[in-house]
Amino acid sequence: MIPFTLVTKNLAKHKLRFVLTVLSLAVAIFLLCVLRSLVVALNAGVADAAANRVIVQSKVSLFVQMPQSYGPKLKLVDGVSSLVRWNWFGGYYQDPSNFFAQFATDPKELFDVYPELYLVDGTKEAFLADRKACLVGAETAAKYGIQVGDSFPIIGALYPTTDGSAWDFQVAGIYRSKKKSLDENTLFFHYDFLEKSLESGAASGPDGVGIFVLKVAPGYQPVEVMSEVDALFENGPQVVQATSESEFQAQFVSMVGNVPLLVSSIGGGVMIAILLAVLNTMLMSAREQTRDIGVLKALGFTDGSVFGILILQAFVLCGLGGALGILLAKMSEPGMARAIGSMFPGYQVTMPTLLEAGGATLAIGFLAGITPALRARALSVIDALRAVR
Amino acid sequence: MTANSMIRLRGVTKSYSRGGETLTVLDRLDLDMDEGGFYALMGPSGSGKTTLLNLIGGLDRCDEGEIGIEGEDIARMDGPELAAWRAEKVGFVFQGFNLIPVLTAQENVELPLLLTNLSRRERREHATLALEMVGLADRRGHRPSQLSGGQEQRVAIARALVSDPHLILADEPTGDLDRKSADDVLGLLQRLNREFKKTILMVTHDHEAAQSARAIVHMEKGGTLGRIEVLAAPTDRGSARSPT
Repeated sequence: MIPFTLVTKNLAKHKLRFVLTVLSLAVAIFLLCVLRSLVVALNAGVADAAANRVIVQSKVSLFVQMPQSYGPKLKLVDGVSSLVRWNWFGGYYQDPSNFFAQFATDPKELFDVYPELYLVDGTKEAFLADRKACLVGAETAAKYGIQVGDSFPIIGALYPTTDGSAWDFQVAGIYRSKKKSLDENTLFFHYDFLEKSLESGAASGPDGVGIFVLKVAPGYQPVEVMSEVDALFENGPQVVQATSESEFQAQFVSMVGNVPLLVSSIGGGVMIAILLAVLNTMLMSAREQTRDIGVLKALGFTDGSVFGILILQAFVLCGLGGALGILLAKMSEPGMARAIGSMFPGYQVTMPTLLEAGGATLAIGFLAGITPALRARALSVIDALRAVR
Repeated sequence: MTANSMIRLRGVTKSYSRGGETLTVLDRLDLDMDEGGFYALMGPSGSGKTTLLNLIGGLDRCDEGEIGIEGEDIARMDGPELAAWRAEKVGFVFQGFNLIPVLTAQENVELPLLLTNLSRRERREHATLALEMVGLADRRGHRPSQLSGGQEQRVAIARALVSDPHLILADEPTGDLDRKSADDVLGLLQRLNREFKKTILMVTHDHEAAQSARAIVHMEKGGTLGRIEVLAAPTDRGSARSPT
């Protein structure tokens, strides 16, 4: 039998200590949720990658362009049903801090290779009809208040215009994606617009193609297509590397360092720190209750009961902090997604993340409570009653 | 005193190791106490009074011997059995009151009843009744820090009697109290003994307090039994329903 009144009243005995411990736990669990969600966001593209897409890039580096002449050759590879070019534009809206991804791409083929892309506003026809037209991801559109029909001036950092003015894109559509393989923060515009601007001297920048995305026809093995592509350009002039979309996404994530490991390490450090803090609180609390434990045992409460009282206190304390942290993480999700969406597209506090946070909360509760609970259990009645209150 | 023994000790020995030396606190003690008796246990410091009380209450274990309480040898019980036995058979009153500071008087008194099958409502009723018996029903919502020493000890007595144990063990129950409060507490113990037929064993240094008992058991230095003094006319401490 565990007197629950005693559990709650002992926790509330030192109100400031109780509130501070709960708040520190809440902050730690909130941080854990956020860090875990960042990792999930980074890996979302990998997890949701399409099996029938092959990415072709320069073997030297992702930042080395491939010749335009590779496009027609790649189209002839057995099993390739469609192809789209992507060139990183690297611009910004008004101020360098308003950074998000922009790509020059083949507009018609984009819809074919990426069937998960759909328009929530505007039309595909309008996008295809105007060379200056662009599609904007719904998250970016919401962030900057961009609507269909608006002019969207982007300063080209990698492809600056000769007169230093912004590239003037016309918003023809707002898109969303059915899968995480395509984020909702990007701007897509006509490859032709970039190409013609470079040819005419209206803008300058690296020539060539950043990546080719190949759509593999049904019945063909992507692995075979990759082998054939690699073999096709084995002797140059630019050696290429063909990978599956999931491999490409994983490689892209690893380019910014081992972020998942770094983020997990920080999360682990936060958990260890908070565990030590809660353990300290529980040990202090248990020491203050030594005489009460003696009284309870004298009255006939078993060693198991006093063990239960102490461990339950730890669980209630951690449960409150954990629940508050999880609530904060979930409530802040839309704001966080807006704030860091351009760097971590698809930021979302998922159910597995919440369950992990719940598990971490229980683990902290158990680890913080077990030592004082075992001590209380082993305490003799006589020694406990002798303790100074 | 053996025909109707409630407490029967035979060859009880208890030693402690202190600084590498073994200190014998009780040495092959034989003692019988009658059911319904009120005993004061007196003796010099180190004579083993409190140790004896702890052994009889099942709070500590003897090294050798038998401790028979109402026919049960508690020296042979394991931890959980002894805990259950304490919950059912014994009420404790301590010198330092030992109320749990975060709980109200009512909640302190209800604590032993959590180990019974009583419903919440029944527990509350029993605790209220016990507090009424000690004259503190109007203080049921007060925490120990809001009570005087005498009131705290009366709450402790209410806690000791709420589960209706046959045996009440009191360790220096008046040690921390002024004379007036001490008399109130002793009056309560007398009433529990006379009206409710509780067997009471009280350790005390206070000779005046010991006069409230029906018999005084004198312990000698070295943990042996001295004389047993039967009081023909114990000092009557008056009504148990003391003023607050």
